Amino acid sequence: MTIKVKYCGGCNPRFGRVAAVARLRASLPGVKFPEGDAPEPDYTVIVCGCPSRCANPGTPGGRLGAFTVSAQKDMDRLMETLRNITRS
Amino acid sequence: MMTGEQYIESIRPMKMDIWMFGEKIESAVTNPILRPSLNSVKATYDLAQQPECEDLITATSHLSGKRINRFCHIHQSADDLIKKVKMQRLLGQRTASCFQRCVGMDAMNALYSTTFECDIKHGTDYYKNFITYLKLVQENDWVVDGAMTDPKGDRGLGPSQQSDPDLYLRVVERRADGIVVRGAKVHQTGITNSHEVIVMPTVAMKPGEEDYAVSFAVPVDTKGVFMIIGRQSCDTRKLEGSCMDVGNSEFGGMEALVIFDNVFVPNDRIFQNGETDFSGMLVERFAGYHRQSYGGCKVGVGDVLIGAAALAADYNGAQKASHVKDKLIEMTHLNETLYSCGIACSSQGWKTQAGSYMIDLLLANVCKQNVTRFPYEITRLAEDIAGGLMVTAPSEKDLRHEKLGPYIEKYLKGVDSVSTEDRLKVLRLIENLTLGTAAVGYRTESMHGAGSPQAQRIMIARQGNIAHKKELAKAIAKIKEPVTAK
Repeated sequence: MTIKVKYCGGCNPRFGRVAAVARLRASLPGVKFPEGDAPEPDYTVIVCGCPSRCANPGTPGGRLGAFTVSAQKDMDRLMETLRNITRS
Repeated sequence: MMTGEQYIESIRPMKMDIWMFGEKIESAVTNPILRPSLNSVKATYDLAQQPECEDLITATSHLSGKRINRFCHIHQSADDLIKKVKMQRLLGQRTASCFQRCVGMDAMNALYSTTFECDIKHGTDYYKNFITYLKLVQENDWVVDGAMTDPKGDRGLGPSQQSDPDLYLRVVERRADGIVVRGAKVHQTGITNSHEVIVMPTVAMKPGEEDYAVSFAVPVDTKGVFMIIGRQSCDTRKLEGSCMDVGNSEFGGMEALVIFDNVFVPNDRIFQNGETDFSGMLVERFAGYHRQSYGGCKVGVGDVLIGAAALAADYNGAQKASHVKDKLIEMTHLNETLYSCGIACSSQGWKTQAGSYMIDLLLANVCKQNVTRFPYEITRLAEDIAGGLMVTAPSEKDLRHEKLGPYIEKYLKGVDSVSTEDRLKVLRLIENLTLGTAAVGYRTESMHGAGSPQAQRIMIARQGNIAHKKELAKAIAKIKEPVTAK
């Protein structure tokens, strides 16, 4: 499975975006996280630093969908979603 | 887009005519006083390459469809205006200094719409000239300095009334292939780190002042252009080799007096040449964009200063004192108020005839008016929390000295868990921002950059719509008679 990570710019983050992605990567050892303009990923995670979620809205989703996070509780839901995808 | 290293290598071969302390400087790249300012501009390239920042630092060119650095972008929506402010806050946070690239972005955005409207009225070709130039800027990812402020001589007299006519930059010769200009621009932030300079008039011109209504772009190393570097408080500490004593060893800002000594400008680089009725529009739009900018960049630097004050409180063991907590809250409140103004004037942006987006002028002027005040209060509170040691601490050399070092370690220690060295480092950073080299950008530039306080008050008076407010009051008070001023 491949997950493309797209960040907001991080002007005044109230959520540790880079650390959250590091935790995500560590918890999904079998998943690849391509950088740059990779071919269509299986899933896209848009990581924002605050609830305004201003990351470029034109970000294309992955083959299996996309998920936007801006708080730890979103990360918990993301993990559950990814677990469901990998199970099915 | 260039990487940071490619940017440095693009500046290195330029033959700029730079002077400092009465001597010609070989290169802005290698000079220890100027290098931190170059590093701040480099950050605008470095962050564009980082996935966690690129969404703000880059944009899609409406001319080429390519991804470009946002500093070369013409705002296409209110969202672009908001992202500009967010980008500036981010860069202020990462450099704790002026990163110098905003002024060119603001000049280009002002010229984009002004040249378009001027061409409609006068049948000139300035918009075409400007679009050709803009494509070059975007393709080459250039840094462009925006030069507006003339020396102005006797402030009671207009450009054409000065005893020395060069006190406002002017056209001294019109030729078939271009113009020759003479004059100077003061306070030119980042010019030694720029590939190009855009010159604009400093005030609205009147009929009879056609020679002063001039705008153009030239490479910074054009024959006849030379720069005299402005002194900054504590600038020569950068020559001492101490990382600690400078407070911010990596980043900084620079300003220069720039002389245009009979400089030739070819026709295709001219964006205004005698149209006095459009000099005011260009000044107003540039100033409006630049007053918006301060609602981002100064906020980012303020974030660093608030963080430094909070660290100083921790290191002093005073972090639990209620008055210290309250001062940090007040600093945050002031800083976020500035940001609110920057975001507000952007969110109310409107579409110009050329299709680009312009900020709300009233709110941008309110933004900058607050910037002339709040950073001063933030620095006052930072100095309050830091304590007097921020200006009385011994040097790094003393700290490293065989005999003196142990005494400094012993007597200047704060809490046990933090080294004396770290305590002194954060105090030096606060010194740097409040009264050292960075205070040029964070304090006095907050006062006078993008126009002094009275300039904003004039704009607020013009845009404030008091007549509408009188009507509102009359309606509520059931006053039927028209209000007549006595």
